[in-house]
Amino acid sequence: MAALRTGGWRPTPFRQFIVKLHSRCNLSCTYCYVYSMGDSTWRSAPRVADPATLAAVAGRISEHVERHRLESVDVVFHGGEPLLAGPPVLASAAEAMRRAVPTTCSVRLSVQTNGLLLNEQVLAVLHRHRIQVGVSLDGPAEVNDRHRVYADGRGSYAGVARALRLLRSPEHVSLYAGLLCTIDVRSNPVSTYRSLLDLQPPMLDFLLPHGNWTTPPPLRDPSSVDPVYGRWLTAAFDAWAARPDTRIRFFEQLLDGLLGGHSLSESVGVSPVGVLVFDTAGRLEQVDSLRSVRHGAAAVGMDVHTHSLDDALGHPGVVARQIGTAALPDSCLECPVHRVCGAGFYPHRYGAGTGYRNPSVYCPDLLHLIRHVQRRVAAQVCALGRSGT
Amino acid sequence: MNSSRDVESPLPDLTDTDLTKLLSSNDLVLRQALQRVREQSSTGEQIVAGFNSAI
Repeated sequence: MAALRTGGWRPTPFRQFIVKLHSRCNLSCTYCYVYSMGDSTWRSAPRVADPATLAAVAGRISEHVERHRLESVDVVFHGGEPLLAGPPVLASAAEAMRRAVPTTCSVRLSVQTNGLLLNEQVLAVLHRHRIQVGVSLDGPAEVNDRHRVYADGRGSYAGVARALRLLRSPEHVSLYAGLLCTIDVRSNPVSTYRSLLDLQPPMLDFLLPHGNWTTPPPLRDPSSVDPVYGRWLTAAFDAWAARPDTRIRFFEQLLDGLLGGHSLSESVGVSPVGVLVFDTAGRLEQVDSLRSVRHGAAAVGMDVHTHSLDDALGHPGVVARQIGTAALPDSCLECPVHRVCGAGFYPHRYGAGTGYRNPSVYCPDLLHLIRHVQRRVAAQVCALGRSGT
Repeated sequence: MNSSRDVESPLPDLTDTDLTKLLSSNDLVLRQALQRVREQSSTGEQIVAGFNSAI
């Protein structure tokens, strides 16, 4: 890091804080990085974040805001399933954040939930504290219920659909932020997209299932360049682009990158990542989907009681995600679209023995999709006539 | 590590004129992307990447 600083690089302050309110879940999703992959940190975490921890988290965020004169921050309540913590904890967490952060800084609160515990009582708290709601759902029942299941194997779709009816009702729809869908590559991309669109999400995002070079994602053979996920994404992109009735963040970020913009998502691109996670014990973590890599991979060995957030800015894992192309392997730097792709999502680069300085395990898929979007842009440029031609 | 390297030429550098023309494209997702990119450059704020969530 000293060499980086000598070269003029400076850390980017955190602007988005993922606060774990509950460390357990009422679902047992087959692909969950918290419980079903290599990490068992959750076992040593308190079930619920206690008031002292939440106050300490809020205090550290406030300190960070003041030190870096931040004008806005996002706080995402997360889990496990955050609504398991109950309305009083949700309310006190929101109050703690809003009370601690200086009024010169706007605080945007949200919760990412499976939706099953959404009811009138919870929604009243969400309204009172202006907390937006993102719901995780993987498509129609037959797709969602392959993976998003209760511990006894029952699918969760019916319960989530009930919650979404409530959330989309006129009195609550202002809280509805969007849907988050993890791709099942065996599903039909167009019908999956349309089933989600039927739920009128203000925003939608597709996530690639977690995996890496050592523990590959489902149906992605790391030795193959067959873009099995790329074809899925391309079909979904075309369905969306033909009639963009909602926003799809992943696709928007690729388009923006191809047009010279910068990604706002950690999934693609080379923008510095400004995310920090607090678990229910107040331990600081890098993005917690690193738990998909191996036990303890997300940890930075610090907690809110003893460390400032600037301390975490010096952690090598945090630095690696803030230095853009300098963290990419040579093979990526040779690729003409590396600034758009950015080697994909950081956990997907991991390989035992080589760490994270690798292309994404989804490299063929990302290339397939980016080329496809690139051709769409190029066709429009040609249709409108290139300047100077 | 195995990865696909048979990448065709990237999108040719777009001039300001090209970008202005694209704003009149009938491709809605493209027009919206151009507007976002222009807003990014006009604010001059540092762009920071965020968490994967539906929010």
